[in-house]
Amino acid sequence: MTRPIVSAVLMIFLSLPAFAHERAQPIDPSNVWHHWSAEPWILVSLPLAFVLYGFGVKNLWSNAGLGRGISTVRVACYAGGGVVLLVALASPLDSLSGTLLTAHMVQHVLLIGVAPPLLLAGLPGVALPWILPKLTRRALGRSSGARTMGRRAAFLIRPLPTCALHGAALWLWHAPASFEAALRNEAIHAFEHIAFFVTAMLFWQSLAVSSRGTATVPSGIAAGFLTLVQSGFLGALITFSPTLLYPWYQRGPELWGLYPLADQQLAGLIMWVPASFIYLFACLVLAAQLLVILESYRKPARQSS
Amino acid sequence: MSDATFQGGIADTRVGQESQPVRLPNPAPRPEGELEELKRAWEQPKGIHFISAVNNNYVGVWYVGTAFLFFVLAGILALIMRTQLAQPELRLVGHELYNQLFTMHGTIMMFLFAVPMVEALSVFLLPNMLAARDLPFPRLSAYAFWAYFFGGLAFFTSLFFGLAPNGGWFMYPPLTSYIYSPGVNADFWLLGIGFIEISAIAGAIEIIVGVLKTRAPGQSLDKLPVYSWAMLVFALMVIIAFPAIIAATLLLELERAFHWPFFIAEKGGDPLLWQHLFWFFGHPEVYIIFLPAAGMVSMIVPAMAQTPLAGYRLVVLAVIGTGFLSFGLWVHHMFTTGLPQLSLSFFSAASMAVSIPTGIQVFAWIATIASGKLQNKTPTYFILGFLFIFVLGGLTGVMVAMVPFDWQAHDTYFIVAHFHYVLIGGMVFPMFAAFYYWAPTASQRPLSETLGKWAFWLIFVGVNVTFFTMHITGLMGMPRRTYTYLAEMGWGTFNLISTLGAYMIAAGVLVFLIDLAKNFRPYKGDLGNVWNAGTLEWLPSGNYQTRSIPIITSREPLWDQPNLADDVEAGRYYLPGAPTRGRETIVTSPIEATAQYVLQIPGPSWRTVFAAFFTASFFIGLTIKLYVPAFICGVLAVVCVIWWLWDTDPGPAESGDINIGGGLRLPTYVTGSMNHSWWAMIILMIVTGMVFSCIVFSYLFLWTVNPHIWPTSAAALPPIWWPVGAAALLVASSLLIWFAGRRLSQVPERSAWPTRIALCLAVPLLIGSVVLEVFGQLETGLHPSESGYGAVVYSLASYQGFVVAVLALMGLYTVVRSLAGRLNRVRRSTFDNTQLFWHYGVAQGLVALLIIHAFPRFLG
Repeated sequence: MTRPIVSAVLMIFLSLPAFAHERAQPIDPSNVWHHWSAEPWILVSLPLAFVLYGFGVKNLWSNAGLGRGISTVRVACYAGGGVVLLVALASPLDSLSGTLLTAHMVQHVLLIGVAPPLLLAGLPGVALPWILPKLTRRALGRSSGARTMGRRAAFLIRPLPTCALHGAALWLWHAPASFEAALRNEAIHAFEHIAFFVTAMLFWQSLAVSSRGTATVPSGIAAGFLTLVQSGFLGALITFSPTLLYPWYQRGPELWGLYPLADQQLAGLIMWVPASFIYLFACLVLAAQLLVILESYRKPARQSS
Repeated sequence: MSDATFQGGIADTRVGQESQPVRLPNPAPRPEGELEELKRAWEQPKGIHFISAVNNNYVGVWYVGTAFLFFVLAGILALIMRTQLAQPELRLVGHELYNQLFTMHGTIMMFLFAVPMVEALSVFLLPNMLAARDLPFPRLSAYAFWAYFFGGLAFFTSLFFGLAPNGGWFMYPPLTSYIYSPGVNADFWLLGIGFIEISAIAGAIEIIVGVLKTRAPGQSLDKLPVYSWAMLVFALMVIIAFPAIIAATLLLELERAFHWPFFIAEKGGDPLLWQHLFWFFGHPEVYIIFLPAAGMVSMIVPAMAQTPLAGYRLVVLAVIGTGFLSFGLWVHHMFTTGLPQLSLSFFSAASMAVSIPTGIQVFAWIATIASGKLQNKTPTYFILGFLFIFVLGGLTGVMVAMVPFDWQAHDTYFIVAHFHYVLIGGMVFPMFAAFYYWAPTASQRPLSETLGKWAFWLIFVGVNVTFFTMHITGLMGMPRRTYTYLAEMGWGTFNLISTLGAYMIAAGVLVFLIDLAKNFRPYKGDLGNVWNAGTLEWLPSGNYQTRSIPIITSREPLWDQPNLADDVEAGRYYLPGAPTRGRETIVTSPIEATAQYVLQIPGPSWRTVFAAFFTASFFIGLTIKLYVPAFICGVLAVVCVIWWLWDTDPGPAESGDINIGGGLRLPTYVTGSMNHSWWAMIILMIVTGMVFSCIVFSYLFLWTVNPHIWPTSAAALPPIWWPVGAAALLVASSLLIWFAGRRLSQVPERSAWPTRIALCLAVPLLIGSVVLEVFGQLETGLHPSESGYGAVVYSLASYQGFVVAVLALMGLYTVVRSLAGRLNRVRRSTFDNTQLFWHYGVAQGLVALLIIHAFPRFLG
């Protein structure tokens, strides 16, 4: 049961890149490809996360055989999640998020809805212990302290609490005051992205945990549906607002031939419609677990008496 | 029966006992008098007391009958409109009456026919299909039925006084607000329909708990009939979607009665708020009607084709997916309201996504038909008619999902034609198929094949003649909701054809009614498994449903488990008698369906009838502004509800744990999350929470529209200690309840007074928190009628006040039960439910305070 702890460590580690975030002047379409964020934190931490994961997988596979423990598809998912993180945090999308609210929303959807499930599909909690020396790993597995902590952490990673936490993070950070504050101050902005990413990792991890047994699946579905509805409501508010909620984006959209309000509407819609389909898909995958054949009783036959 | 008699040599049939042979749980023949005891427990009251029956077989048939009555009544209204439109410039009805006619036609068909009908059919069918003896809360379904019956009829009579609502079935403000609709017509809609929604929610709670908790042992979710799945999703959608319309009607009624401007633009409201709330309900509503009908089709098709449904899992996932998807798409009803252009393309694309799950179901039915041999019977006819008409409606649906086309067709007869194809195809045809298919489970005589086919052809041809023609009338530009038109428009011929078609449909319905009068004989036994179907509703049954409750190991048990019907009828399965000497059924776990306990079900009662009558009178009284009688009826309704509840929560039966067979002993009473009423309370909390969320959404929505009317500084808000004080009172009351619960676990060994006193003290604390909040706001000079901000702030407080009032009643009721010796450490469901709802109410209050007081400060 060391997995939750390891996952938690990994989450924090992976979210460090978000600290390094720079808000440039508005960017116009002609030079957008020149704005790669070459932040030291990202350049160090993301590859490091990959190397550690890759190392763990290599050790695991050399012990158990190729594709055992963590399938190649899962490893590919992890790699995909890493690429998504790179796109979100290091590509011109990141720089553009200071110019267009739409770009900012795409970045957020990648951070909360696309990267976390992909990364978690790669089972980092399984791979990472394998970077440790054999003895340490075994000692950790036996250690009662680690187990107790694991149980505690598992208790926290339940769908409804994490869904509430993630929902609270989304709503609080989208309030105009905090959103604008994040745009003006790098540290706050980094904190915003960490809040999004970490709560999303917790949320998706709780869905993954809930899918392990039919008894816990319903709470996973409920959490997925709640997230669908609440982020839909938030998206609707942003989409239908006739006023500019975030005055920061007064000037930028015009460089891209968009009215600021249209930019805001598109941003709201991205949060609403494509994100809904992600949650919908997750809910359906969970619901399919309910249809696994269960044999709770055996077929009785008439007595011979 | 004595427990020891049957224990020797009977193997436990649960998994994990593989070493022993699996035998039927009970031996036959059964002892003398056991069947008589079962019959006596389930005997229906005689004479006039017949009305007090609560058993699903009775209430189900009345419910279906009443819903069909409203179908006929609304159909007659449609015929009057069609007659008026048959020729240009006819003078049969004037425009005012015409407005009332189309409003009532739409409203009745949606709220008094379609939703109640699908609920009614499930009240009748579900316990049969799950092999439960009854629904878990029979008195609640009786209450829901009678409330609907009284309320619906009173609502309909408004037409005879010229007081019927006339603002269209979706009641858009500002037309329906006090300025442009000063009469009571709109109030009839708001209070009448709002009230009937409550009855629909009661039904939904019943269905959810019924499907999840009262299944045949072994009927795990993967073996649940598609219809039960569809009803489960339906009921979940009802509890999520209907609160939105309840919230919307509450706000509009507040605006009409007290001039709180939620929807008046010049005072900081926004009429679009209504449309968002309405369609957040209205779009799922389409699937709320369609999914149960699709579920019925998924049951009828396999029986008529004599082969299992193709793609069971895909179909179930499609049903679930449709349910989820429908909550994201409400905007596509608002394409022409001046919404952002960008959003239209998004929702146009997303609307297309709905066709995937629906397509999966249609192809599964076609595949099933293709892989079996379809019997040439009336239900088959209606199923094929459904496929034809519904698919056509779906195709025009794809057309109107295209924004440019929708702009042209909106509010013309093309739309009328489209949704009649969808609704008649998607709901009315499956309903008739269901009538002909399931009638043998209710009636001693089957419905006539000859008359059935006549009815089918008349309705099928009639629908196409009427509504296909309307597509053309619509494309020629005829707008809906106009009471007449000029001859020069050239619409006369097409309208005449539509009118003739409408009379043909009426003739078909008439043939069905004749068939019903000639052949339908309920309550006198059934015909047995006439179609050789595979599901449990075709087991031999009496008023107690099945003699014994079977163990299920397959999706179509009657096909896969040999001798099942005989063994069930001989009492070889679980619970073959009535060991507590009352009504009972087995409660199972929600996923694996393992038996958990024996639920003691309440029997016939007049109390629910009275409670429903007074509830309906209360709402009607409010509508026609007879406030004093309304108030008296309201008090009487509450008294009747409490009187009805008094006998529930019975505690463990005197007979002790019950041996239901196979050595399985079950308790007769449990508390906590295994208890069925715990589930109902959780669902009720979701409903309450959804209404609250809709009001919070209104708060934020109005703020995005009119941020300038929100307080810009903390000075304009009540001083911070008002909300802090209110929050402290809330938390304190929760702590008292927690303490009361702790002490209750020591009753009766120790005194019950600490529990009682804590409960009594918690009530005023809760009330105090609302009083503080309201006075705090009044202190700042804010009034609800002055702006949208004021209105929405006071509406949050008022809703909290309503929840607090309910909690106060619950708290005091719990104290009274304690005084009457009906509350102790074992028998404590009443307290547990009060406690759950209490903590919920406190949490809701805290969130409300946070939004009202922290949000503006946060902005400023």
